[in-house]
Amino acid sequence: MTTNPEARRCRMILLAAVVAAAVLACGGAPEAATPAATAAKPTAAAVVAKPKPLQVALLTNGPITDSGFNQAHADAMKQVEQKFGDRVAVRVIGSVPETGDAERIMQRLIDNKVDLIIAASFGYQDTSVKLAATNGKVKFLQAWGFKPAPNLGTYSSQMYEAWYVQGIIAGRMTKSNRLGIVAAHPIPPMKWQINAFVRGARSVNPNVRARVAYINHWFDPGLAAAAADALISQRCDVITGVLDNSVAVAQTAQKRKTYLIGHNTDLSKFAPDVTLSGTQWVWGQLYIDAIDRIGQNAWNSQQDLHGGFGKGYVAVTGFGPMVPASVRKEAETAIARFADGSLSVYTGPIRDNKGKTVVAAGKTLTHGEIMGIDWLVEGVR
Amino acid sequence: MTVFELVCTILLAAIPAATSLLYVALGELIYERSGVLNLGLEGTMLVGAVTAVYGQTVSSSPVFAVLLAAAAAAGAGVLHAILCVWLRTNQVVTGLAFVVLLTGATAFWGQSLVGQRVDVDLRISQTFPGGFSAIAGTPFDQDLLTYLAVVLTIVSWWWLFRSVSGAKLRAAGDSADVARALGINIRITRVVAGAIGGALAGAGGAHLSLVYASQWQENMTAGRGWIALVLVIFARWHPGALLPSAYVFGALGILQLNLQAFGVESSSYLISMVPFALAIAVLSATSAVIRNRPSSMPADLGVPISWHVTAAPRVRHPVMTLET
Repeated sequence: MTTNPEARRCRMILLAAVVAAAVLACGGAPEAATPAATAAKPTAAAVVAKPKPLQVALLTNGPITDSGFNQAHADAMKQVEQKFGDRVAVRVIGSVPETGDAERIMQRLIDNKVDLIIAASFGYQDTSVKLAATNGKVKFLQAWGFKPAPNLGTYSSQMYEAWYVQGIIAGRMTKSNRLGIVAAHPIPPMKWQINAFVRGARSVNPNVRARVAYINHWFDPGLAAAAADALISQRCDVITGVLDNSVAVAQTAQKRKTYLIGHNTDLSKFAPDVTLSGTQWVWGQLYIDAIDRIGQNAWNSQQDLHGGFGKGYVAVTGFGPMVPASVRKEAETAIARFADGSLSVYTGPIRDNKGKTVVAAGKTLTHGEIMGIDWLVEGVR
Repeated sequence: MTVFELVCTILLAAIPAATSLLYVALGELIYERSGVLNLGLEGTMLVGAVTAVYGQTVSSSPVFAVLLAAAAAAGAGVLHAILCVWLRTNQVVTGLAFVVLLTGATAFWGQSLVGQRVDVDLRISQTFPGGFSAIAGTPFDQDLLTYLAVVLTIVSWWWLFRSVSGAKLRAAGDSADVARALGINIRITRVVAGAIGGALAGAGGAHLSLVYASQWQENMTAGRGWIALVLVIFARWHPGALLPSAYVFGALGILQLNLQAFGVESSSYLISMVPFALAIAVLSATSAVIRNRPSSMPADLGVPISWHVTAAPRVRHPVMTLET
């Protein structure tokens, strides 16, 4: 090795600069969301000595600009800010891995005196439970969680209701009677959505079959597009993506002139000619309900933050021009029946795709049971 | 659907799935042949992907978009080369820093491009509807970038092994000292190789965002840069081996999706594992078979060149140690 001290020093400095820049870019970009958005607006109310704003932090496991599941959460926080103004200070932290990083970031938030941590991915549950146990003053909300504690509430939305409605539309619009579903992983959170979609379709068209292609990633637009392509090649004529980000599925549907059912957010701008309708999360209403209770000092972790059309936690994105009025009417009727409780997705008899009866006649699964579904309904390949 | 049709469908889908891998791996192969290891491919690819979507939105010309992507990523490649060659930073750390830096930077720059529709159809049956409409639906109906990748790989093969400038580039990677003695300017060679490597990685990113996924999303490469890095080793630094390797990896990557869509009952996790199991198997097998032959890895890969151009050759070879 040659040793030129000056050169070495120069090198070290440069390296340090690169690393520092990297750390800045990494830490800066995802967190850049909205800490300053609530900066002092001198309103009449603000002049009065006010308690400091409720510090709310939201963690998502994917990019908050994904036009998908994660963005739906980030958009919801904008609704929260609009509703509560300077009574809340919101932080949105995207792309937090469900590993030790989640604990590190949550711990940092706790050190920074955050009042409420919203963990918007199921994979954070163990971390939330652990930190909630040792930080009694901090409130936690865990998405899809099932381990509540005095300061840890759980929430989820009954997205299966929206999927059932989409199934009705797909079942009416398919010609080949074959629906194509691109899904992330073969696990319950995907399966209860797939089942609801297929049950909706078969409620109006018992000949419908569905094929599922799992991409085994939460986020990979390239693979999602390839999967949609493969399903279309197998004569599926209505496709959808049970994914955090279904944009790639939408673009593929548009390219191959195949009907699309959107998911997460409105995808019709990516597939303007083929979008039949789509599901939509409305987390904003859910978070507002929770923060409202905290503001009134009436929060407890048993607050029921689980709901569908009835509570306004899910929605559909509207109908494409190709959907006939009779089908729209059918869909709207189903939405109304979900809202008043006269329709439910998981009421027996239900058989799985191996012919076994999994829900007995007359029995209705509870929300908790639905969240644990590990079978696929009959009609799914 | 018959098995023949299924095979056609899989081939039709596997080839574009491999294109971005082929571009990025080819670029890395050339750069590594000059003696520099760039672990930052994931980041360079993202630069290409985001710039391509930007170029497409401002110009609506896919040609311009791809050229812009290649140019921007070549810039990243040159920067990497300058750091590693002139300033002799540690190549592993620099590469890793590039991944983190460029992932963050592209996410930041690309914020306004998220949700932009990308309408690009470069399939040759669409681009030249007169001459090629007959092949629509066959495995030959691929996009222009895919055909270009194959051509570039073959050209690189010829260039690296059959031309003087290619030989000089390989000399810089195999023994910087010998190359220097022959009068080759190693720094320039490596920086040029860095630019070529970057440009190709950018083209791979452009294919991913413009053609394959038709959108920009932060971190959308989802590990393809790392797979490309494996491919270079898998192909033993040879473009001729890289071409089939990339298609095997591309096909295995989407095989499970097509089998599922076809209705085959199988564990999708197991099939997703196959490319990596295969990589390990082939690497072990080849290293066992050709144990006694010299490795095809460029001998000076990852070794920074000495600061003083006039420095005596480093004593590294056992034979030379014995002589002294």
